Amino acid sequence: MDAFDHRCCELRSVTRREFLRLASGTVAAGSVSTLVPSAFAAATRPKPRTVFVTFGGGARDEETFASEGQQNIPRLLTDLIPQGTFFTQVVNRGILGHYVATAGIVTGCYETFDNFIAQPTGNPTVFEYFRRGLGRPMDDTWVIAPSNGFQQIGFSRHRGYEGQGAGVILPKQLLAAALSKNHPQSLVDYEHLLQDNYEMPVYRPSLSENDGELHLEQLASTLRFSVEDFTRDARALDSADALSLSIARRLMAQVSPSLLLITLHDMDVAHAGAFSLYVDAIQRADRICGDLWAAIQSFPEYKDRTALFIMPDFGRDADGDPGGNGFQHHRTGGAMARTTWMLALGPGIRQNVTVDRAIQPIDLVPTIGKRHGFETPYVQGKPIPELIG
Amino acid sequence: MIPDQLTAASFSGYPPLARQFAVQHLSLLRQLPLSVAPAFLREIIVLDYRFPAERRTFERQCTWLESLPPEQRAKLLAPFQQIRVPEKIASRDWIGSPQPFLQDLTAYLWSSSQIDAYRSAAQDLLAVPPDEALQKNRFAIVIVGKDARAPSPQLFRKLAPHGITLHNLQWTANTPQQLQQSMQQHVASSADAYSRWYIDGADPWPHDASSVSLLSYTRLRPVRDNVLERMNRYTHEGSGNAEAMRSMLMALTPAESNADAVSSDPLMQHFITTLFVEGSGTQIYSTSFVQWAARETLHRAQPEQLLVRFAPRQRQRTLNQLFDAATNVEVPDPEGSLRDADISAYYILLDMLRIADPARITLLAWREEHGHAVIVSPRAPAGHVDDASLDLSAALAKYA
Repeated sequence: MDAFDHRCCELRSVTRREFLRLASGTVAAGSVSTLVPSAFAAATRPKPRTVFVTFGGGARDEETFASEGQQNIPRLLTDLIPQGTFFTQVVNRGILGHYVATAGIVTGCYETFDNFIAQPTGNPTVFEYFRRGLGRPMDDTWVIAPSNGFQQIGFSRHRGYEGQGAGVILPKQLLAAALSKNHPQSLVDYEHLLQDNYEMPVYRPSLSENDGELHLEQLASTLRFSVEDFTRDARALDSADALSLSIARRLMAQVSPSLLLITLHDMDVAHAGAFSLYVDAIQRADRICGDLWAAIQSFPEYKDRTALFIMPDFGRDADGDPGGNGFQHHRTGGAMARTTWMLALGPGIRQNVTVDRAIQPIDLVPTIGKRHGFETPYVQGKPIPELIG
Repeated sequence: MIPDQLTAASFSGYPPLARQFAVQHLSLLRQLPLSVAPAFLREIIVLDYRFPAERRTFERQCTWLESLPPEQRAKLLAPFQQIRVPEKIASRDWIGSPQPFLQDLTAYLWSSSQIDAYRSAAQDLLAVPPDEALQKNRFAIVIVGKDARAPSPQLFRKLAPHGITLHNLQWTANTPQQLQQSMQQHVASSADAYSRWYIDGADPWPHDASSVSLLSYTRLRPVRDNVLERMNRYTHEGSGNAEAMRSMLMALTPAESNADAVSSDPLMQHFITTLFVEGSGTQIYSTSFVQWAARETLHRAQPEQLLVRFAPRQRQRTLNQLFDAATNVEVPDPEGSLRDADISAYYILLDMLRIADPARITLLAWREEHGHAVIVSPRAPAGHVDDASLDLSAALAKYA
């Protein structure tokens, strides 16, 4: 949809913050100074780790934390929110395209490149700040991303950070490579794990011979998975996002990265206009977030030292916005499309608290920097005080 | 070239109606800043293929702007004057091909953080006072849930607060025929062309083909397959990005899309083509097609009577499989489609409210072969429930 749309009348303005006051009874941030835990503040704190999860594809309040959407997110609502701080207004003031918005999240700057052309970011990424600032090896930070479009999200073009980025795992490409090697006839058994990004069909999982070899090398050397075991385990999964979770678990078990980004993407099926598929994907994302937190607590290297941040990259268009088509897209730039939420939990993060003050997605990188103790000199965002103790 | 250099000759390449319109409103067009003039030309250049109602709507927008005192018009245009269009974009042929110009401009506005201000200015510029079209009565019937068997207690949750929920509306074998008769009786049919529409996600029910504009997903298969084939070929060639593919599709003519094989009416041919090339998901899911077609029909043709029937879409598969019409095996998903249709019924109400006064709107949403329905109308008590057994005529007599 173009900026100028001849649909003539606005139905009604959408007020966003008729928001939860969550069923679990969270309290406002200003009134709970006594709730600060824990390991993060301790004198002998262990090396912190961070996992951040984005809902790439955008999710609206209506299908998540607004009253009518809460049935879709039981794990977030009942398991995770009580353990964390919930930010009710995360306002994305950048371009509302998934790749460019995710790039903004990982650089702490609103990137302005063409969303539909895979390219490294112009500003340094959090992975580069992290590795350079703390002198960490490449294996200590990873990205698990949905599609070819994200293959270059781990590194920037910024001079001075060459060779300091993160490895990127593209689960669908990994699976396609594994199947091509051993089971070329059985792709149909795995088609539900290879669902595409509906806004960028030209990024569909397709493999050159060289790509395939690289993915198989990643499977063997990083994940230490045989093709047979990987494809056998994958067969039991129900979605592409579940495949991402499975790989995240494997990565944590085998490599234990200190900084890990996982972008879930199934809900972007909304672009095809099928509301039920979009909501099903949100429900899966909810389950995956719960399972991921459980996995974090199950690994000794992560338990009690890992912060988890969960955030849609942005929302989607409001039902009443005449320039959009409801949940289907995020093209209007309206308040509903720009505004989403973030849940933070882990050491040093207050539990069962909501924060109504507006923050931005670009605030996450400087916040992670403060928590880990590395500099983020090029970010536009500001550290989030509620998360840095 | 900037807008105040426009002359009648600038539009020599336009189709006849478009040329005539542009010349007639040349004075207004010359006053528009470059950042907005192509948006008007995009509407004008396709005027020959627009429905009468949308031609009237657009003409009213122009006439209203022309009628404003100069200072008021200047105030509305001032935000557009502030936008400096980059030379690379300004040098494009925005008169002969306004759409590519607008695509580039939109990308520029996003990347320069001017999109919100632009949208706000555009809304002000288009805030035309209501016209006489709002005074027409509109009646829409939305049938959902074909072949769905599972209970759906949350059905019509978004519509229910706006009307009366019926739990025992009697569906019989004659209902499809009665639905069309009821609509005819309830809203006097005008003589206007394109005032009665029937959109079906599958094969249509029997209907009066001479007086209804029909869009049947099944019957439009030649267009759908044509567009899918082009998308499939484009993605396999890997020669561009999604925006480029969209541009390629939007350049399709009705003859290229096969629309001339499904309708002899040039306006319908163009409309059908745009539904498949501009709609997202319309090529692969019938529910997406029906929702988008209903939205575009309401916005563009502004019908007085509209019957919309959703049918099961195919199950989700990978895009590779969905695009490949030659090998794709379509397995229906009736339960998921019911949920898709449910929110679409609500969107149809919102679309109706954009073209009509709420006091003139009647909408009946009904689960096919079930008793669960909602009627939204001035006479239907909002948020109430009626559990009585009613047939269609009794329900409409009581609430519509």
